[in-house]
Amino acid sequence: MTDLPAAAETNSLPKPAQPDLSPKENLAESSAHNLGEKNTGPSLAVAKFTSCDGCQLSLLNLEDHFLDLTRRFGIVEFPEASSLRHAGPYDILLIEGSISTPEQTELIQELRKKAKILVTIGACATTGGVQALRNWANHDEFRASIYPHPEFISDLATSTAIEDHVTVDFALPGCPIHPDQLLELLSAFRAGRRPQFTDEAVCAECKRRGTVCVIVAQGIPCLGPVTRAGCHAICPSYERGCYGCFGPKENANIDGFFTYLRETQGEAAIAQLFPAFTACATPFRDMLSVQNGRPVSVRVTSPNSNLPTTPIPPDSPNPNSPSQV
Amino acid sequence: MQDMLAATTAATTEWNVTRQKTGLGTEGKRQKKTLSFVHTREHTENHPGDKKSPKCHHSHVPHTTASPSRPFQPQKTDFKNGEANAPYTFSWQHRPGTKLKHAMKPERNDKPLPQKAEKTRPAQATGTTHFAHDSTRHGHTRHGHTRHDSSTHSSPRTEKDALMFLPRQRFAEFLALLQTAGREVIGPVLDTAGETIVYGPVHSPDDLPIGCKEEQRAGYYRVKQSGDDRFFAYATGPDSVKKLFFPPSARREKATTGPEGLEFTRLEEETAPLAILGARGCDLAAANTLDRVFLGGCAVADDYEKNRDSALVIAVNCTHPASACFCTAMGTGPEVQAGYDLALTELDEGFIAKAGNEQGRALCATLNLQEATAAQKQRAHEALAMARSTIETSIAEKTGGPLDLAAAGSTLISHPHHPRWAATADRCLSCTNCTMVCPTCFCHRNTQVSDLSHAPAETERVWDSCFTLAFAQVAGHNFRPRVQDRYRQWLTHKFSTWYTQFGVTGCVGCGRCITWCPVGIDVREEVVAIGGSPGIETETTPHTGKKPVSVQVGPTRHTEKNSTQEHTEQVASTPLSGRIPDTHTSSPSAAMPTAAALSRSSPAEMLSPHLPPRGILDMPRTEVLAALTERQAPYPRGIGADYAVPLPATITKSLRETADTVTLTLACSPDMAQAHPGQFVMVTLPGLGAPPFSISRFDKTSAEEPRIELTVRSVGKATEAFCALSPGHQVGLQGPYGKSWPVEKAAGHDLLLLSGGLGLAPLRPVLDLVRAEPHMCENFWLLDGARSPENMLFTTELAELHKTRPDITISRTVDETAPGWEGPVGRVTQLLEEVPLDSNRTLVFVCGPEAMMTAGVQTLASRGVSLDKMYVSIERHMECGVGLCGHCQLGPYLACTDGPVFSAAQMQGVLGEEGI
Repeated sequence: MTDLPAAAETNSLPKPAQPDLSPKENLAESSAHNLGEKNTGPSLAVAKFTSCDGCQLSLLNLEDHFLDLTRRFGIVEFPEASSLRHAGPYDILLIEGSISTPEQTELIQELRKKAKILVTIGACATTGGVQALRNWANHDEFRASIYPHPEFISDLATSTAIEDHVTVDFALPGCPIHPDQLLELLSAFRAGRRPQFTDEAVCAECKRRGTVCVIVAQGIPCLGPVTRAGCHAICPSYERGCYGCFGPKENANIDGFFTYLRETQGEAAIAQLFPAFTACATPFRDMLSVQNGRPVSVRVTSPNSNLPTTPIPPDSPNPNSPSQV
Repeated sequence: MQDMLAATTAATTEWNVTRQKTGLGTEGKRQKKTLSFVHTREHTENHPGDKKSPKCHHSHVPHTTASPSRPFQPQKTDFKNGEANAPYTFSWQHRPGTKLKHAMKPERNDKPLPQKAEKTRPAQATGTTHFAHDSTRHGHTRHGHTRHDSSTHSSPRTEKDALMFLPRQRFAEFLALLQTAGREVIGPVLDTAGETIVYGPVHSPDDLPIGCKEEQRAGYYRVKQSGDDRFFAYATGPDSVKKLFFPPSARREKATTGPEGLEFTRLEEETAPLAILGARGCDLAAANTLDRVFLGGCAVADDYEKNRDSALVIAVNCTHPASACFCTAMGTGPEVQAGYDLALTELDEGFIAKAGNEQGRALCATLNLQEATAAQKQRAHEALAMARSTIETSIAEKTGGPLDLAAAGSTLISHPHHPRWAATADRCLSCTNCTMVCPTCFCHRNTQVSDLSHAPAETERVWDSCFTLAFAQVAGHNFRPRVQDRYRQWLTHKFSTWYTQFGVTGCVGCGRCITWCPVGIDVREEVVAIGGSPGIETETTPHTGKKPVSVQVGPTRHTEKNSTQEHTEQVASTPLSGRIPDTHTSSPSAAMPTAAALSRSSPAEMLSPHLPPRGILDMPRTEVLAALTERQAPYPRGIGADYAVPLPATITKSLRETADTVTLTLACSPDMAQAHPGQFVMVTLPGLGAPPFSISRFDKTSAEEPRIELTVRSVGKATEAFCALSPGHQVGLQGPYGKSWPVEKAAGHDLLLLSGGLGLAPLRPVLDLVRAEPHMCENFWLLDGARSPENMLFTTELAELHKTRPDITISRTVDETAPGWEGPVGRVTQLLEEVPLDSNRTLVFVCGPEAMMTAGVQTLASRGVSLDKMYVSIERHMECGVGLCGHCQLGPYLACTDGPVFSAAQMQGVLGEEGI
């Protein structure tokens, strides 16, 4: 019997031995806190870029599991919860927010070097977020219209995803992420399995949940069929259409969907569907074009499809008028 | 009494006359039409096709003949008895080799024939009841009996349940009766938004969607208030009774560490027994179909069985179909066919109630219902006739002519390259809605549930869909990456290969997939476009759904060698009757059908005499069934074979073969001593997953403590963890599963093993056999290819074998050479050139990457080796390993129960085909 060769250098946690499936210890008996340097588990840190902090809040939304989290992982930096700072290195680094300033482009490179596993959390970090709508806009004009001295504002004309700058090990989509997915990610790290995320459509979650389709039964525009699941289909359960905050699913057939929606629900109803929180994700971004310095119009572009391709001028008073081809 | 009798007789006579006038055909025809989903479970191997057998209550339903060599034979109809229009019979024997373990005990069939009952109840209408069908339940229970003590196979001619009448004002009383014995009544209710009718708890008649009507078409569903007080004046909503028997998610088993190590325990949910109110014909036909899936195979789904058997079913005959309904084409409605305790038909003033069995009769008796008046029966009859004709009209609009939708659908598998697949994929969003609302879709996956503390780890069974990307994913390859592959998989499975796997059609014509598709794809149009016109492309723009070219394809008929004119004439008399499709399509060897018959034969029949066969996909269904090798005997329940609960097995040895491959020896249960080369096990790593691994060696020296070896390459997290295990660690084991290498055929043959990479592992047990029994075969060759010398498996033992046994020839090659390697370099198929094959007596086993297996089979075929003397081992995504989760399908087969070892003949049209 030969010995196992030395493990290759990989970005993986020390493998757990035979998983210990003995019943959970009483939480109250464990030693207090693990926010700090003294801890037994892998170190976990959270970094924030251009974002609203909603995804960091999802970590806190884990509630009871959060306490368990603090026991299993050493949380060394978590701006939303603590003023503690840690210079690194980190075993797991959760990154929230997109890159929109020159300073951030440098900071992300430094953080990548310090993190064993880099996980982007949220629509901002995975797709650029709602602020990525400015990518289609004339940024200088925006700045000038808001700030009296725009020369003091140091930012980029674009808001981009973290993965456009560094290699990302895992990406958790959502606006915000769903705490269950974060829990699954961290539990998977603990167990040593691949995190069980599916790239099926939101429709699967709606149907399993028993929610009735808002498109079919109420004629409400909904991006669910082309959006990735993970949110437990919250929005349709409140009778509003999905706005795609988890980003596009695999093989998202935007052209087919859009063409059908346009015919059945009209231009106006769906004009605002795509320019939203994950607008910059492919292929959602193909739905937007620039007009008058703003991403306002939606057009179908599909050279490979046998569906009709119809450019739609923006600001048209009546999208159904005969003059529109 | 006499007056009553006279009056009743007169009334029924009048009614019979009226029936004939409405042109619904003779009584006999009508009966048979509605017998489409009858199980003929009593037709076990003990009673091969004996029509006169007292155990058979269907004197006019064709029998099947089961014999060891041909599990299914087309039946010969006796035209004289008017059986030419007999519907397709679905027998459990259609799943070859499967014995229904929990079939009714034979003595159940010895109950007195209902003819006796006929004589004692002269007040009943003679001939038939209004709804002439077998109105019985087909719930299977573990203990060989159904809850319903009435015979489940009573002939409609002799079943004498009268039509009772339940006044509307007594419905609350009826509901209360259903709620006794702790039952929860689930029935149609408006959802929280008030926009849709779904199944939900019903406490009083006010909970029902009173006065609601539906408007449904492709991608559109609205509920409207009509103002009347009808309870059931609509068709179907987005959910079906499937969710009551087979819930969207369920925890199945739990892994904990106990005092003796790893323990697996089953998780069961305690649920109150249900009374299902308002189930429609399509739904019950779907439940019947799901019975075949979950109860009729090698493994039985316990929770489904329990839910199914404990439910009381109050069915409702549809009087207000939707435009998306096409149950008549699939033979499932609008009347309920079977599987109910009580069936209701709504009238203005109340409900006609027909009992399906003792339970139903007891309900009627407890409520002291009176028989319905002749006028009431007449109105009900007319309402149903109207519903039927509405549905048939809307089908005719869709199909553009006299097309048997079911028959056309059954041929879809023969058109894998039809351009329509790609065209529809442009519209399809692969959103999974169709599969989720479909009442027969059963595919599911098992997810691992473990929290941060990692204990305990549970397995949850969750509805899955063949439209997801991950469905056909294995390590390093995806078999259906394109949406068009997945759409084709779904539609061909639903309409075509379901027959092969389960003996019935998978589509019950409920129309839900049409209504709830967000882009309004209509499967009727798809079936017509692909299956409706033999070999001719239909001119349909996928988008606008223009009518396809009208095709003159009539109902399929069984064209036997001695088919008679009267046979075809009977077909001609009913052009569009929603006839149940006949599986007995003519085999290629049948005599050419007459011109008249040709114009009414199915596309498959028309194709097969004219085009060269392309393998199994082009074969008529009967041939397909015969070509499937007999399924494994039902897996024993109990120790180690409960598919949901693994047995713990301890690792006794770990041997590193290459940098990324490890062989682990496991001490396992005595069941493993029955395993054969080529079989596999499902290995549960709690919290990580449950992948399938082929067994790479058996050590049966001690029958009480057998050992198996599993050779595993680390390609992902689960395999990485598995390879890192060491002696003393435990995993969960289920199996052995699957069909084995047919080593018994090697006697008198030369045996050639062709392996690539890790494919050598499932072949090693064959090598062990050859080593142990020198006369197992004549000449023997093992040709093995690896990526590089460092990746070669079992180097020491094979080198030693090659040296010590001159009768065993082992030849190894590598794709890329390395210093020190002096052997051949190149593809393993090139080694074939040096083998002095006698193609007449060579048996070949091939295992490796699919491209390699395809190439190997082709090379050998070109050297004259017959396709049924070559066997391959197929790998597919498996979640369960026992034929329940649907993931491992390829063409008409399930890799876990029909394989993983297949003959090359079976694999024609499947192996190497993109997206199958």
